[in-house]
Amino acid sequence: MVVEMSARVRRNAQVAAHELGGSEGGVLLHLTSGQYHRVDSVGWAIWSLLDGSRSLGELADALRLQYPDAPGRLAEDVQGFVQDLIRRDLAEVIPAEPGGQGE
Amino acid sequence: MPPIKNLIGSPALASPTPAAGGGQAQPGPLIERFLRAGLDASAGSVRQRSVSIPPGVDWMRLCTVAYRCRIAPVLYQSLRQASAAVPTDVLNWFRTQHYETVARNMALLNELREVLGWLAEASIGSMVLKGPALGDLGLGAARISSDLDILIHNHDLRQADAILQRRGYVPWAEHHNHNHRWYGRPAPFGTSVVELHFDISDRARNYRPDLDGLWSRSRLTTISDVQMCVPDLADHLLLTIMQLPHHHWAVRLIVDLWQVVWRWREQFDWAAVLDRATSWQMSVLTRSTLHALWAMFDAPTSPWVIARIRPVGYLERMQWRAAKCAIAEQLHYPFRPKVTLLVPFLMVEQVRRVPAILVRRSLGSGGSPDESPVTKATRRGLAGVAALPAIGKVLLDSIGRSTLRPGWPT
Repeated sequence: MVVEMSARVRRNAQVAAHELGGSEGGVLLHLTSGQYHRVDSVGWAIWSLLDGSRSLGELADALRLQYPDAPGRLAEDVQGFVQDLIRRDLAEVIPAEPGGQGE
Repeated sequence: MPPIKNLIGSPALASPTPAAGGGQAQPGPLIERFLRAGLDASAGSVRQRSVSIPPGVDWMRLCTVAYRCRIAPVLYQSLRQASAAVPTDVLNWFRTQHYETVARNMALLNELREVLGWLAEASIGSMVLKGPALGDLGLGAARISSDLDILIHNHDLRQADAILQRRGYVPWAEHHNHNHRWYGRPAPFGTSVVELHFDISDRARNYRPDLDGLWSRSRLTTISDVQMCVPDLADHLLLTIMQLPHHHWAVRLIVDLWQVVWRWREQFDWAAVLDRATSWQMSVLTRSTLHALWAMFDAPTSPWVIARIRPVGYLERMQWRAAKCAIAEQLHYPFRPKVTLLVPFLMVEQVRRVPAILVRRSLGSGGSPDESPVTKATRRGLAGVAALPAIGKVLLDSIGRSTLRPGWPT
């Protein structure tokens, strides 16, 4: 499944998250399956921005503000990461509203 | 910017499996140094002081000791700063232990949220002991916890029992005792265990915490969005100290205590803490523990406190020394404990209680219900005999007044 850059994605409510501090990133725990995952510091930054208020494109822009020296393909990396989150049921695409834009 | 490599799967490590070290240096002194250097790192931060790593460390054994003492996540905070000298697979093992602990704590906290919610719905007052509440005072998510300890009023027991059973918790009757009950239910991350306390006294050693005072002094706090009632800071310190005999002076608890003393040292009214310890009939245990924290782990302790936690007389010198030996033994000889097995029976206010405790334990009372009283009594008898030389050394060494200077017992 390919998630469009215009899609809005939010964290799965059944996932608990804990920041490890320093440059360690964080740990995500799926409360239903019991599976846990580690994300690095950039992954944690993306996770923190996944509140459903912005599209993936806007999320990549926000991330670039945090990492000014990020490579040009940042948006594609963000897209791949978020797809991975969705595949693992850690995040979900917010359904487009009828008549809404960008879906 | 670091690469977005993102997600790492969830390996299920049942036992430590780093590459064999094959070196000669024993891990005890190195762990001791790591602990001393890394303890003052706040949760999630990194330490500033460095620890030199001698050549020939037996890394396999170091991992095994850390695993057994349940301090691997704590040591990781020191080890990751020394990563250049630590083999990669060893560091990865410690890292995984840390992540697993964090994940397990998140799961426990989620379970706690549910249990507290059910109790609150039924208007049952509850207080969270140890576990996340203790972690919040010190190690944070790096503290290994395996169950949830919840204190309720005695008169609420029947109702709380019915609630837990209705929610799928099965009582483990064989583990019930005079002050708590155990319950378990399957969960995605393993069995979820609740220890429901309705009293907290330790009858064998005659430790008598003031239960009414504990409730009246308790306070509300919020940990990761979960609101809960927890003991007052001094009560929590004393309750943790009270756990030491039951857990044979586990290094994990010593680390907890160190963190609480270090982080909250300005908040404590030490005169009141020591007075309360006396009224709970655990002055010997409290003073010897604070002395060990200061003498062995450099816990910040004011001269006023040091003067009041010093042992008085031969008996106390022996008790103090025995406690220190028990802590050191776990790091240096974790699979051949000697003093550790007997120390819990020595730490009482009135020495005349010691024979009764020893006899009762020797006859097989207490401990795991999975073991027959005969097997238990035999095992304990043999352990007691094996410990005699070590205990004898403690008795002899305690004659000299100079034996309790700061440092680790030899």
